[in-house]
Amino acid sequence: MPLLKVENLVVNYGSINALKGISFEVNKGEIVTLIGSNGAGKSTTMNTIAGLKSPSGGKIYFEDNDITKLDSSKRVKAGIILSPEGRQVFPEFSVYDNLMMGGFIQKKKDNLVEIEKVFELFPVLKERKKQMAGTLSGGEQQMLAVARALMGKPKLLMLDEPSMGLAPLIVKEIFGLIQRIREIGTTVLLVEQNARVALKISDRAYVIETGKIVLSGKAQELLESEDVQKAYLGM
Amino acid sequence: MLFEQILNGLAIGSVYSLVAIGYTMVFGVLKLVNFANGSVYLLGAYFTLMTYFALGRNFWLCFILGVIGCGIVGFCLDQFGLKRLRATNAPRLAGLITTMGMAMIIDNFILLFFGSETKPYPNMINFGRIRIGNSSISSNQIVILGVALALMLLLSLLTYTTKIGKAMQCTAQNINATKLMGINTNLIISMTFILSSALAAVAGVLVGMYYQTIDITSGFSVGMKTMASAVLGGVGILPGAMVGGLLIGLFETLGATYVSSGYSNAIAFAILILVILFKPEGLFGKKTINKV
Ligand SMILES: Nc1ncnc2c1ncn2[C@@H]1O[C@H](COP(=O)(O)OP(=O)(O)OP(=O)(O)O)[C@@H](O)[C@H]1O
Ligand SMILES: [Mg+2]
Repeated sequence: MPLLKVENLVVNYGSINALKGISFEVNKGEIVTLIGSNGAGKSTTMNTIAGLKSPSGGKIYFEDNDITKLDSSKRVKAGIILSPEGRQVFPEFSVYDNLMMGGFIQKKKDNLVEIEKVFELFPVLKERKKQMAGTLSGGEQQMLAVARALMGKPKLLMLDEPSMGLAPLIVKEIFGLIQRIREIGTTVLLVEQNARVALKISDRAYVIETGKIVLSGKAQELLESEDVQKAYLGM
Repeated sequence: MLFEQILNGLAIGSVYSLVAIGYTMVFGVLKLVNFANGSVYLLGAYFTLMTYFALGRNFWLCFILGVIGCGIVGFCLDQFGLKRLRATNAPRLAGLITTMGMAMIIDNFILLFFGSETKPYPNMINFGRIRIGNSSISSNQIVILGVALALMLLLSLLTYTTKIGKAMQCTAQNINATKLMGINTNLIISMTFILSSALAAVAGVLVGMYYQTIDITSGFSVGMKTMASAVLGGVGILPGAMVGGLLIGLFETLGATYVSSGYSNAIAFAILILVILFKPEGLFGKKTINKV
């Protein structure tokens, strides 16, 4: 049984048909990547799974339960947590308060334990825990967004372009972190422009083009596929 | 004399603060001016007046009923009006116009039910005046200041120290990110409407007792003055609304004493215009820091 199963998902923005019936699965313990060019529908897919956008057709199952119509807050409680595109930290809260908000649905006691684990993964954030999130650098905000998502103890962590706008060294660091996050038992669904690096750490991947899945397979196979190399890896 | 005027100003101003807080809270979470707030204020005053005579002149009971009643009205405002607009991502203007429509419905309901003539408002709790040196302070002023300040304190505690308060602050900063924290933002917004409407009702009753008359036009005038208070303090900022209300109350009272009592609305508007011209973010507003 897959952890997440998306069936024939259709999403519209007014008259714009952003997703035209996509289906895919994520199994427990996997890192799965969605790749595709700008406007392909990756963020729309993530937002719809998180419950921020409601689909006009199709089904979403999580641990075999139909969650298609579930409120976003209940999906978080079920263990689906999205770190959205463009960071979206709470700018007027300190780093510490942002992290605590990430654990809003947990008990305070558990949060105090969890935050120490998160600080181990992101020592920068520990140094800056009293700083207002809005004054952090872009890269630090990105780390905060990922860390905040972890505070909710996700079963499925969805990361929408976690490396956006980061220096190459930091990108490497973030991808290393994603692997460590998986090692501690969290399943990861990843969206990345940085297709090469993303595929290297992923188990499987799907390629989305204008709202449709056009290719899928083991990450290694896609890395070697000529089509993918031409279109997304710039070779 | 001056001391008494200042006390007067603070008393009426603290009531303005309560209404201004309502504007600011709703603006915070929805980025929307709730034009129905002034009407709810008036409804609270009338409703309490009605139950006061109907239920054997038990002030505190009727006061609480009025406040709860208006809280329910606020809940309905959102539930049957604005929530649907949110669900369909309607433009903000639609929400604004909806609150104006709600204001009209409430105003006309009041007209229909209570009539348009000015009504005497009983001084429902009266324990005389207290002398301080050679000035004195009335029981009304004590009750008003006491109730208003206590509510402001409670509200600050709620906002800054409780989980619900944090959720409200987050909703104001980024509603989508707040949803992603597992927070039911519709619930938070409902609560904001209930709180702001209940506060408006408290204010309505207190002002009714202060002036000892009530009429249908005072909703609009208080609505405008309190909106000016919220803007003066910085819209969306809780302490700003509190200080803004107190200042507008002070200016108005001192203006009425030393210039002319006919100018109280004009003073509020003049302040509103000056603030918008010279410090649009308000006294407590910070230039937003928002890195992209
Ligand atoms: N709120 C919206 N209103 C209208 N159209 C939208 C909205 N959000 C997305 N779209 C459209 O839906 C399509 C898919 O957008 P989406 O954000 O999912 O792309 P993406 O694959 O994440 O792209 P990128 O790599 O640039 O982030 C695009 O054509 C976009 O213009
Ligand atoms: Mg995107």
